[in-house]
Order: sequence, then structure tokens, then C-alpha cells
Amino acid sequence: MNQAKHFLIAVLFFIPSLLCASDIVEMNLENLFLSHPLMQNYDPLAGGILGTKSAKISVNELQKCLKEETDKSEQIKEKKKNLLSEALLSGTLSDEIFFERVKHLDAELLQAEREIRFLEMAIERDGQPSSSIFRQQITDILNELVLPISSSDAIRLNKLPCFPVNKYSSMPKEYFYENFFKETSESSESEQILLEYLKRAYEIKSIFPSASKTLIWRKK
Amino acid sequence: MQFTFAKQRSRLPTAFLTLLLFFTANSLFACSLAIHDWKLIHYANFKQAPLLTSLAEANFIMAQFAKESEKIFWMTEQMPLIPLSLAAGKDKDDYKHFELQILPKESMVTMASQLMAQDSGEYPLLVSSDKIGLKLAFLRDSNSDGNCYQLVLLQPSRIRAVSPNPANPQAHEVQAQVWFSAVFYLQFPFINFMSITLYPVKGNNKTLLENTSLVYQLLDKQKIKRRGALEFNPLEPKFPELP
Repeated sequence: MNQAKHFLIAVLFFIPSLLCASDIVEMNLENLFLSHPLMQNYDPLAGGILGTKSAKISVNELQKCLKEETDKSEQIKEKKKNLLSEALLSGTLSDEIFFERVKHLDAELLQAEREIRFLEMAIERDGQPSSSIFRQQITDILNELVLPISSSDAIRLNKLPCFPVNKYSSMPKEYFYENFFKETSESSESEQILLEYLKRAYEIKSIFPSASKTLIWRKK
Repeated sequence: MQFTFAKQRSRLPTAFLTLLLFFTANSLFACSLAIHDWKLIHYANFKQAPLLTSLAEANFIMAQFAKESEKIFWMTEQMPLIPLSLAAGKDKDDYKHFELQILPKESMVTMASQLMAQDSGEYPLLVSSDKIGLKLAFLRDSNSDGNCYQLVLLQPSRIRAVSPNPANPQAHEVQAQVWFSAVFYLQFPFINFMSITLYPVKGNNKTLLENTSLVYQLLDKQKIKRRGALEFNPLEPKFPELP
């Protein structure tokens, strides 16, 4: 709760200065980012946020969940088969009601199958959920921080990291990944470019301290 | 997909068909080279419209019911303006041969129930399309000094299908869409097509035309903007989401 309060205070303190700015908005996105309540549970070793979908889970627990989801999926299939047999044999339901029920069951089945795929992938990775889940969380946090003070005609100028980025860094690598390479695919080539860039970014920052500032530029 | 029309046969708009076949012969890879910033300049949304093609139906049947009956009862009030087998492109051999019979639109549940009760051993797939609309959009590329345009025809519809096989009954409903996009560069008084794309053909975008030499020329003259190599996703539509 305290963390949430501190985050709120940080945002409220920060907004007036942004409102006064005309063209360019500077912000200490890193501090703001790290003060976000979710980031208090960031686990740099596992590369996820504890207590959320990106956290590492034990394989046994995942297998238990997988069995539950598989059973659930089978139940939905059975339910749909019964609905189809009964409705089509009797022919009494209207098309609208029949397809409404079919759609509802299809949606439930789709959700169960998604969960199954997610769990299977996590088991393959020894309990580590897909990095795309964590990347999405990072993007959501950044959007939450930046959108209220940004607009569609604004450009956020990204800062360079203030410290070397490695596996044990307090800042997740994905934070930089999303910031610098928003448009790129998840190819290993992009990852390589990112790592190469981050390796040099620290040196650049040491020579040009102002490069560490984040800016939001409102296009006229 | 090859459909045999059992009761009705639609008239072919010959000029359009000739144009379509001409474009099909020129499939290259060009528009991934340029990046466009599309701005909507004209837009029309018709809630009711004639069915242009049955591509969405073909795509839906192949995705959900490919292993079901080869006989299809299409319960519709109107035939598509462009026959499916021709619009699907050159790869006819990849498609299953379906026998298509056109029936007047009525309750699918009742019809399925009757077919089940007959227990003839042959269970045709029942398909219906309704809520057919049409969106027409004309967009201008801000990255080309307003000389590059795109025309989009997007047809949304609701497709329902029931397979009344008592051993394995099936039913699905989808909100489908078919779109046709033509990107062209205006060099008055000439209109030069850069690319023409159709969706869905076997679940994907089908490039009917990509004029690589024109795109290279325009890029060299800096008339259009070069795309970064990492930004292109061929599976996405080439136009922004329409209202």
C-alpha cells in the first residue's frame, strides 16, 4: 500500500512540470518506472515480476495446472457435443439461441486451449513463462506512466541506461528492449543488436551525461 | 477451391475477371520496401451490401470443416458477384473439391434436424452468410507528398455452419471479413499500381500484383519512404484499422 502511495505522489509531483512544458518534456522515466508498485516485486535473477504471470513457477505446479486445464477443455468439448446432439435432434431451438450457446462454448474452449499452450511452453522452459508476457507487462507499465502526460502527437525520446545492463542488473533488459526497438520483431538478430547497443550505451552516457535524460517532444 | 453449382450459376463480370487474372500473373515482392503513413481521406460504410466473393466462406470451411462432407448446402439469398474458384487464384489443386448446392435461407437448426432424422448416411454441410456490409476507404500516404494512394474494399459478414453428422455434429459461427487493397502512385495523368492484395486466400494475404521496378524507381527518386528491414510483417493488412 505504501508503495502505491509513493508511486502516486511521484506521479502527482511530476505532472505539473510536464504541463508547463511546451515542446519538450523531460522525465526521469527510470526512477518513475522503478517506483511503480509492480516493479517492487521484480526478480532480476528470474527475469519476471513475482506474483504475476511472468514469475517463475515450479514445474510440478505447472503440470498440475495443465492437467486441470486439459480436463476443463475436455469437459467443454463434451458439453458442446451434447448441446449439438440435443439441439439438432430436437430442432426446437431458434438459430439465434443455438448459435449464441455455440459461440459461448467456443470462446470458453479457445481460452482453455490458450492456457494449455501457455502452460506447455512454460513446462518446456523449466517453469519460466514466455518472455513476451514480461515484455507486455513492461510495455503496460510504461504506457501507464507515459500516456497520461503524452499524446498522439508526442514523441518520447529515450534515455540511455545509467549503468551497464547485464543479467543481474536491477533494471530488466526488456525495459530497454521495448524502448529502443518498439518496431522490431523478436528475432535473435534484434536481440543481438540490442545487447551490442547496451554494451556501448554505458560508455556513451559517461561521456555525455545529458544523454541519460528521457524527453517527450510534442510535435507542433 | 472448386465449387460446382448445382442449381444456380452467377454471371461473371468479365472485365473484372480479366483484370484479376492479369494481376495474378505478376506476383513479386515490392511493397515491403516502402513504408507508408496512411491517412483516411474518404470513407463509406454500408451496413447492407451485395456479397462480392465467397472467399471468407471458403476460408472458414477449409479451416473448420475440411474433413467434413464434400457436399455443401449454402443457404443464401444472393450469389457472390465473383465466383470463388476463380478468385481463389492459381493453386486450385490445393483445394478440396466441393459440390455446392444453393438453397433458400431458412432455419439452419430445423434443416439440420431434418437431415439428421432422414439418416441417409450422407450429411451435407450447411452454410449461411448474413449481415453482409461493405466498407470503402480511400487513403493517402503522408510519406509521399500525397501522391501515393490506397483504395480498400472491406466486406464484413457473419458466417454460420452446421455439420449434421450424428456421429460427430459440428457448428461454428465467425465474424468474417474479406478485403481488397490497391496501392497506386499518381503521376498525373497516369495511375501506376504498386501493389494489389486480396484477403483471405487459404487464410493469408494473397498478393496479386507487386510492381517492384516502380517501387525501386520511386525509392531512388525519394518519392516514397524506404522501409526499415525489421519493420515489415507480411501477415498484417496494409491499411490502418477502419472505423
